[in-house]
Amino acid sequence: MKFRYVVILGFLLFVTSCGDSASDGIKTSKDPGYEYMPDMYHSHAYETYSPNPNFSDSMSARLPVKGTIPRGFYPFEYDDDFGDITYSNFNRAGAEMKDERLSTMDDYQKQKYSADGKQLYGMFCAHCHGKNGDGGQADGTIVEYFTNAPSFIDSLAPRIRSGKPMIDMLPGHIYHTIFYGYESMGPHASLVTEEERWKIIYYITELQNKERN
Amino acid sequence: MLRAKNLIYLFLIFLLTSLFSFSQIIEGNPENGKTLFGNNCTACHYSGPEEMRKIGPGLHSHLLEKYTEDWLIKWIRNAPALTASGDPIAIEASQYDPSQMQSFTYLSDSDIKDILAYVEQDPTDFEKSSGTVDEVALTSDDSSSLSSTKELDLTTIITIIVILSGALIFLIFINNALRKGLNIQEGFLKGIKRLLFMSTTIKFLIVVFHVGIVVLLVLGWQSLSKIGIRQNYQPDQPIEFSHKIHAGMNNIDCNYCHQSARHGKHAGIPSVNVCMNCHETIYEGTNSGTEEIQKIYDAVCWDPDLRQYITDTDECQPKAIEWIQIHSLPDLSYFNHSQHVVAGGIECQDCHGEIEEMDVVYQKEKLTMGWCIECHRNTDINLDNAYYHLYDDLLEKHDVENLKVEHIGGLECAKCHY
Repeated sequence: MKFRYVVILGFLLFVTSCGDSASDGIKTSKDPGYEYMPDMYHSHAYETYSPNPNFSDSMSARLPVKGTIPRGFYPFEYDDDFGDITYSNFNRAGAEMKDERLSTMDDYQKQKYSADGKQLYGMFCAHCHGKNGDGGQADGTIVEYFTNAPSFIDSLAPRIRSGKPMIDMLPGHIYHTIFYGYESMGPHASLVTEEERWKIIYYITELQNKERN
Repeated sequence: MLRAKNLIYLFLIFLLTSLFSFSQIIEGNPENGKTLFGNNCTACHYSGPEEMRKIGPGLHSHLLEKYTEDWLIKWIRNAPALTASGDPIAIEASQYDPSQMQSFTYLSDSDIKDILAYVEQDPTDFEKSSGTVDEVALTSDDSSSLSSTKELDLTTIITIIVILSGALIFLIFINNALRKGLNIQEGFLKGIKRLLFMSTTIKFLIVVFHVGIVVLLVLGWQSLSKIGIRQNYQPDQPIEFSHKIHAGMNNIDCNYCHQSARHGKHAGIPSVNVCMNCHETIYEGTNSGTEEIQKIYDAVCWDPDLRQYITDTDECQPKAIEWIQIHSLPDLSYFNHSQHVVAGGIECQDCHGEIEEMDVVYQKEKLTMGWCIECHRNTDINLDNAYYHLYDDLLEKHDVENLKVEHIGGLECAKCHY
């Protein structure tokens, strides 16, 4: 009798291994299934997105306490232009801001910087402004539903805020726009870090220079 | 009754003819106007009724009822200058929204006329034709996927039946062989004979007994092996968000919303301000109309009609959207997204499957330890890095051409369990 069950068990192993490879059609389930030793599965400390009974809105993800800033964070010194039709902060940022990192970089580092910028541009800008910065109408992917974002290399249309066409937008202008957004474009400050913003701007400046020459 | 009906018809005909004759006033090429509208106006305007507000109002034939053509040409060419010159109509128009319409001095008179000619056409005609095409494509897609899953089901059932009947024959054979081996005076043929001459009830019971044991053990084994594994888990989320539309059809990069995948342990659930970057202006979805997008607005207290956040806390309190976690690694193992995405350079799809084709996301992979280890054994590490010349020695030590993750400590217990 014993032998018989050993043989059956061995055979079952074979059957289950066959069954897995045979059923390729995906059957999804709304049931997460069972857990073994749940006390080792769930953190006792509150995780980033776990519910938290200690706060009234039950979220563990918190904003920094008022009057404090996160480590490594620098506040942005230019305000937004809401309600200011002279766009003074935008134009001040354009005149004053520049990327401090660039002055100490050699060519290899700049190349790397530009490559990173291109990658980040693809992630955060391309679906509206087009893959090559030539506007949403060229190859932006969400133009149909959302908005036709302007081309970075357009030399015709003067923009209302700077009075110059997009090709003459200065790094500080772009930085201010990424940070606060403008019209249909929402603020992207929470999406890209300070260094990433400058990388994106470096890539856009390269596109503009290429178009000019 | 008849008269009243006739009157209504007459009125309708009058309306139609008046509209028709009205549309004759603007001479322009609506086809060219469509391109110009797309290039210059869509950043702030929808083409549609005035209520379809973006930054400015929706543009439709009502424009030409409200304003004269000459004034519109002046306004479109240089709105700020017209407002500054003290034109009363322009001043009223400029108060529509805090952000001002920009100048389009490079557009010629005929360009602007083309745009106006496009605007006064019925925009729904364009939408209708494109909408039906999409619907047809979608339905045909659905039916094909349904039939393919049915076929697969049938094949699995057939294989199970074949395997089970094979198992039965195999077991009878084993039974007899063992009897022979244990010197029980009964050969293989005799056993068969005995089986043949038994009463049918007993035969039936024996078969049921064996099949029952096999089925129970198979089911038991399978359910035991699924404990702690959430493969194919597909819960209903609080908002019917479709990755297929956002990441697939609209081709928005995964990192746009899950930007913390490059910086931290968690891939990050986008906070609602990220949704609002687009959904401030897109209030109608492809699959579910306004219903699901309204849930975002409710969570973040946005009034889509006034286009502003409700700051009065008595009226609306912002609340968390309780998304349900699908991919859940137990707390006993450490996993960091940035390490895999930035340093490892692996694609999101390698672990999460073709998310851009899923309307509702499910867990594609098992996420078991064996699954992790397999990848760590097979993945080459990228030595094109200023720091990794340290690893040159390892190439000789392990006598391999390419270093795998396991050679730089990818199988160390304490890398993940501590």
